[in-house]
Amino acid sequence: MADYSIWVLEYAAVEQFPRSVMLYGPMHQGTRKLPYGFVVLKGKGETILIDTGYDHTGFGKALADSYGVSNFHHPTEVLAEVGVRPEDVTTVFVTHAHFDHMGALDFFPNARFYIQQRELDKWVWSLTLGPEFRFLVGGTDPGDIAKAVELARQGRMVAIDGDREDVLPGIDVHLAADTHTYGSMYVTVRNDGARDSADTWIFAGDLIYTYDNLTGLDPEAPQIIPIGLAVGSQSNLIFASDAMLNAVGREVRRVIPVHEDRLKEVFPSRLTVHGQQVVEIALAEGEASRVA
Amino acid sequence: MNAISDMNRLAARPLAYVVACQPLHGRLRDVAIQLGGLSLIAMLPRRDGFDGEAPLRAAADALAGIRAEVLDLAVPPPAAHHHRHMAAALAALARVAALLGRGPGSGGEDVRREISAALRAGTDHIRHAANAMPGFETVDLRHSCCAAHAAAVLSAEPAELRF
Repeated sequence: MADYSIWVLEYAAVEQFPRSVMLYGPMHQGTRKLPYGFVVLKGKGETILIDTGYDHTGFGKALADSYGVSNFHHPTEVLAEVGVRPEDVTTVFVTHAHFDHMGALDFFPNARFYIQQRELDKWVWSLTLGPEFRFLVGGTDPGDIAKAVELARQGRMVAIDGDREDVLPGIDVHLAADTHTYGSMYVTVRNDGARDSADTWIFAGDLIYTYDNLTGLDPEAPQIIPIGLAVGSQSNLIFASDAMLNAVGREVRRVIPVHEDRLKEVFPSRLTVHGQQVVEIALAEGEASRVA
Repeated sequence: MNAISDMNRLAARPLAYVVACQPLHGRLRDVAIQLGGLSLIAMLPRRDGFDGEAPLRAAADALAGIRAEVLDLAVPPPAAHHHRHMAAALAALARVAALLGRGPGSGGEDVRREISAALRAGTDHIRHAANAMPGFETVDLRHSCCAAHAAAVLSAEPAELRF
């Protein structure tokens, strides 16, 4: 039986996202839907988020008007789909410091937050380089940083230096340096608690956008194709993907891309009244299904 | 005819303010992010050292430059509210820079609390300013993941060569 129940919850979407960004290389191939989502784990007395979503109030209209982000729903509303309230959340793993992954820090009053030290250090360094280098720091909400500062003051923001095992029981974090961002982090859940687990899941943040990043598009000749957005390098993205695959015995479906629209075809799922996918990856003992 | 001309002239004044103030708002937002990052690093316990002196000095210098230009703007009445938030953001962020300049370890919890409060006030004023007039954004999304699907980016023509 699983230690943690695991769900991926969609909270917004971009209906037309360029394939060339999801998969680096093939240009002029049209668009695909890109859901925005976060992960909920519940078990061992903990309610855990991997990323937070964002606060729509500050710039939601700009996102909707200029960038085509649609169907946004507040974390409170989205979490209710699996019976979780924001105040229930005890831990948040922030995979990287982009607004759509850490833009709702202050919605979880009882949570402790984990982020990679390198993500912070290199980001502050890049801010010192001048306006010509602003590509490196795009998409940052100054309000998010102010929220993070207050969390740090309260001792609720923890910076992790590299890989760390058992941050929580059966949950490890790994640094994927100089990939999508300087200090992107992926999260491994050994859902039977064993060190050499047969029930491992990996939550990839934005190291991949779709399963196609892990398989390529030709079933006869699989290959790892990195995403198109990196402040680090595509090489590092490829090697990080390889490391994630190795950790799950090359079983592709166990490396979860939250931006993958086809998760609902791979795992039990349902659509909410707003048309957003609720994907159920595992159920702990005693937990009722939220998609049945 | 004179009335229309006067109306055009009056309408142009806020527009001129927006055009002049947009880059200052963007620079102020960038400095707020930088001071936020430096505050965050100062607040977090760490084993190794992070030399924040040079970036802090750069942020403080940038703030001083922005402040001089903001105070020098001609402010038409419709822009007064926006301008007040800009000035308040500058003051709050200058306080953050001054407190950080004392060193992260000095002053204890009271100083840490004041840094956090001043930073929150500064970023709130930036957001309020962005909400007070059209033409200002809280977040520069042009180089984020979102930019990949922005219509304006996808349809952009190559820039004119200006070497």
